[in-house]
Amino acid sequence: MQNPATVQPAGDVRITTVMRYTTPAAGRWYQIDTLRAPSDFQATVGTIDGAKISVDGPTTNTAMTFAEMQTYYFRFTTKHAVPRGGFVKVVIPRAFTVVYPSTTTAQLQCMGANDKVNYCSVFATSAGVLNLADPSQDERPFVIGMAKVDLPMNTEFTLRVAGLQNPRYVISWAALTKAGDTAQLEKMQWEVQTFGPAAWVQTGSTGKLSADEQVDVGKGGHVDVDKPTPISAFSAEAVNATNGVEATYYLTWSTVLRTLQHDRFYVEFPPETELIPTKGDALACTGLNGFAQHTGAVTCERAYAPYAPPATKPKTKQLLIMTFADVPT
Amino acid sequence: MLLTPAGGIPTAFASTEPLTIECSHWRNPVLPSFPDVYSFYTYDFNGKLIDRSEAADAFPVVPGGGKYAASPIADQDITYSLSGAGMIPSTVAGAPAKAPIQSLSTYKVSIVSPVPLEVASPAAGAPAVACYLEVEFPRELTIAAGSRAYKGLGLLATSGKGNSLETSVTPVLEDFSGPRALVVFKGCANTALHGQRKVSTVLGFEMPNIKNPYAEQDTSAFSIKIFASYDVATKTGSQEIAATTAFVIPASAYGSGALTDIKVTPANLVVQEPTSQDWQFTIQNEIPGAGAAAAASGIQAGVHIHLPSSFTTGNTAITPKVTGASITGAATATVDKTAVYDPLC
Repeated sequence: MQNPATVQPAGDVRITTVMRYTTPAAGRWYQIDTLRAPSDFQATVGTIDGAKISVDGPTTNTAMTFAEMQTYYFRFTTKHAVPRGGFVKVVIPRAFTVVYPSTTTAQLQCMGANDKVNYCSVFATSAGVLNLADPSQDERPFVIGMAKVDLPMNTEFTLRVAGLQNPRYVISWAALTKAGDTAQLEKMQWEVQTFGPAAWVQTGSTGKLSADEQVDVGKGGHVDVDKPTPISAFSAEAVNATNGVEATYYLTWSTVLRTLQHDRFYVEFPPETELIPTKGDALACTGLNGFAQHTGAVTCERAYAPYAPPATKPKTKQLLIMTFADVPT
Repeated sequence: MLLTPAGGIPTAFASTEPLTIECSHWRNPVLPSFPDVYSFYTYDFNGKLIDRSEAADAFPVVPGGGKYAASPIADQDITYSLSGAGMIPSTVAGAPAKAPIQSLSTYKVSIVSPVPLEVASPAAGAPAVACYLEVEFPRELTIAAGSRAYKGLGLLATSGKGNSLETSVTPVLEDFSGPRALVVFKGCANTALHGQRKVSTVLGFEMPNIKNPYAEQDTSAFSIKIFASYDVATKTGSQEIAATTAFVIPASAYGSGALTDIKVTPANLVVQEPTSQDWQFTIQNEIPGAGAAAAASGIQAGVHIHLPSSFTTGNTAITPKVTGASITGAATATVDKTAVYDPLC
């Protein structure tokens, strides 16, 4: 027997015990006992081998591309067949952003391993398909393609996912692995889910894929963003240039990436200087340009040990940490 | 009876010219053994005898030399009812309850004889008169062993007057182990009915401890005959008066059972994976004909499983493995992918 194509609960089963007389000639069958009842059979989701999932992106993964559209090629090998009309859903780590869903939708392609034939049509006729703001669907970005042909089992496919923005921060699979941060590793992984043709449930102008029609699921692949975005300009000017005195500094910088609320800004002063520990108003920061003009818009403190980035190892007496609130949009 | 052809008698016949006269609305004799010899006379205008038939000229009544045939008992002249424990209410309003298959029921069968039957006279020296009802049961009904209390109805009752007689009776013959399952009742011996102006021609019986068919099906035809005499030793009736033709008890009189506790245990639950499945269920009624006895009994049994359409069988033949407390022999299975649901497959 072959189990059902999806995890949709199998329907009723009817079992009938029957008998017939075989002499003088075989007659028709007659019913003895019978029962029609739910089979209570529900298949479980298949698992796509994570080792056969990969994500290839630009030649250089860099956060510099944050402001640009980025295209990734998501490869996976089906475990079980996806019939024509079924769906392939790629769930993207939350660190990525779908800037323009329509662009992502328009450029989605589902290709075989060794050809350029697009086996999927984009299932994006309504905004609901990529309604990323709807937490009932999936809070992570995702794209959905609908199979135009039967996608056979154990076959490699590539989905072209365009219009993505890289994470705002550097992420490294190797570093997280070394640190044993399994939670972050999990969040870095891409995910693919396949569904049967009856999976789409339309509700008003939106819809979602029903878990009852799922075929397979698999997690794997990741994207390293290993180059931080340079701060395009930075200057520091002391009001009082006399040596050894307590002075106020004006710090000015500009960034490619937009600064968001609760971002932290680390400024490492030269070793000849020393930040006076926060005590009273001895160490205070005030935002002048580009910040909200009220107390608390910018707070700062001299770093203490847990905040010190281990890679740079600055003396805590020279490391200033600023935190921004009410960042203008 | 004087026969005069319509239009009068021709003035003259040649002495050997055949003469045909059609006589309608005659009633055949009740007993088929009525002597098939007629007397034939011709008279002249003044009533003087001209000719008469001789004994040697006796002619058969039935063309071709045949005999009288027993009168057929039409199905609508037979009524039946089944009773016993566990009767299943019918889902059809007004319809009688169904007897559970394979259970013991009491069968009550009444027959309206298509011809009048003579009853015995209480007068001293009156000739012996009787009628016999021979019932041969179809193979679907199994007569349970042991004694049972019969009842005779109508002309099979042994006493009383009226049209709804019912008394305990003892059959003159019971044979449920031979090639024919037979019971024979003697009737028409209730002298209280003799001379009654209106006597019902119903005769019937009530018989308990009959095991209903193995399945919900029509029985084969009963053979019910009325004889004027019966030789118990040879189990043979004579002077056949009437007989059923194709009386059956329909499947609608019986109710099948219900399976319970259907459970499937697959070896692998993952979608689309090939796997073996163990289907378990509990039967209510016996599945007959298993093992070597099947060939002898002429019964074949099976289990039909209509799986949900989401299951597929691929191209690999199914090898069933059937286990059960009393199952013997190897089972076989076939798969029909095109089949639509039919409770009888």
